[in-house]
Amino acid sequence: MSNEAFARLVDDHYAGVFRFALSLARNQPDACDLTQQTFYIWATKGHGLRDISKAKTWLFTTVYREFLRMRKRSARVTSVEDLPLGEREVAAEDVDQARRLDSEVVVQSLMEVEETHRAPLALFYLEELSYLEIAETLGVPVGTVMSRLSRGKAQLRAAMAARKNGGGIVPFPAQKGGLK
Amino acid sequence: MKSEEARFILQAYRPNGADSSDPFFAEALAQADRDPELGAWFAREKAFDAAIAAKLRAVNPPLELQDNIMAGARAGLWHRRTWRLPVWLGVAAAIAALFFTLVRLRPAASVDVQQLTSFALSDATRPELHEGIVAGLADLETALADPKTHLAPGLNVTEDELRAKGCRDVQVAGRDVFEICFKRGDVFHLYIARTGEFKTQMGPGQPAFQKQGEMSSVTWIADRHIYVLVSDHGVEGLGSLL
Repeated sequence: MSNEAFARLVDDHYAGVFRFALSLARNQPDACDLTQQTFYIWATKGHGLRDISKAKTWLFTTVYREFLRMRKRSARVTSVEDLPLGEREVAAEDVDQARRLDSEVVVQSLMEVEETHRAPLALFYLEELSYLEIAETLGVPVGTVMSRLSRGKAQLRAAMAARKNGGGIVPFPAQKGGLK
Repeated sequence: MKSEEARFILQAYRPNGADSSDPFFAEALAQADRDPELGAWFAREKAFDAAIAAKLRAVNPPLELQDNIMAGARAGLWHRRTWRLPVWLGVAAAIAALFFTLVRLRPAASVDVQQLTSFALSDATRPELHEGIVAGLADLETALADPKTHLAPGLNVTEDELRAKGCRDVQVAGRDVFEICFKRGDVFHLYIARTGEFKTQMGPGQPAFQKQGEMSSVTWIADRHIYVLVSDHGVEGLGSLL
């Protein structure tokens, strides 16, 4: 891959990769590290990918694998307490609340979702990957993706409701320059 | 198809409509058209998903990230190209690598401790690097924040312990350096490296103070480690912590 093609690839995907990395790592420095590491791996190994249309899935799969490796290596990611499942279905006030809340609050609420549910949820919302692409990226069956999306959304609504009521489950450091 | 099953399927339907032609959703979509209650739920679900997606996509990466990616990857591309060289160059590269490995294995540290201090003074001015939640270090940070704790004797922790606790680990001239942030009124950054990794004329009990812009540092040796403490609290403030 030429330098120009690589620059284009970075330009097209680095923001999405960073957002997914941020949703996993839950802090900006680690998200930046993960993003850089992912593109570094592409620069050294990704050229072997024959179907360039799969580049996006390859990048997200790689960032997820690198996150799992980083977590195993450093145990740096804060554990998340189990949230009440809040299995009630989406209500009209949930929609209003989602529209009214600041991006930062929504991001913080997403960070409070259990990791196993947060990863597919982030791919669904941030990159709008299909259930098939999410399954491929995370290496889990389609049925598992469906279940995790369902439970993840319920946890996200519960976390947003908790924030609305002045609560919160895990404090998340304020981002500097990253959030609008 | 039961309504619950249709809901389970439709909650994976992307809010941008990209799944409209996917046969997997066809039956559930048709049912949502027929069933007003299910249809109303689906409309709310799509509206909720669209609102959340828009909020989350408003998160922007740091400005310098794209440049950093390109710089890091250029190094990767260079390394990859070296492996495409002819065989004889490969052999030469292997010999060179062996030479550098042997040089690296020499016991004398060739990197001056000033490089560590300069790194620490610069690194501490970048707050975005020091925001991670490190649950494993809570005890250590509490002890460091205690005014009764004096740092001169060192922390008496090993690299493995710091690594296991999730301490931030950076490379300075290829050497492992650990960094802990703590608050004692102001924010302080403590950098820790092994004594053998950096060349220094300092002996134990001989702290070296330095000022660079608004930041000050004190570097000292204790318990087989080099410590660099940095803050914008001034040289006197740093000395009071030793």
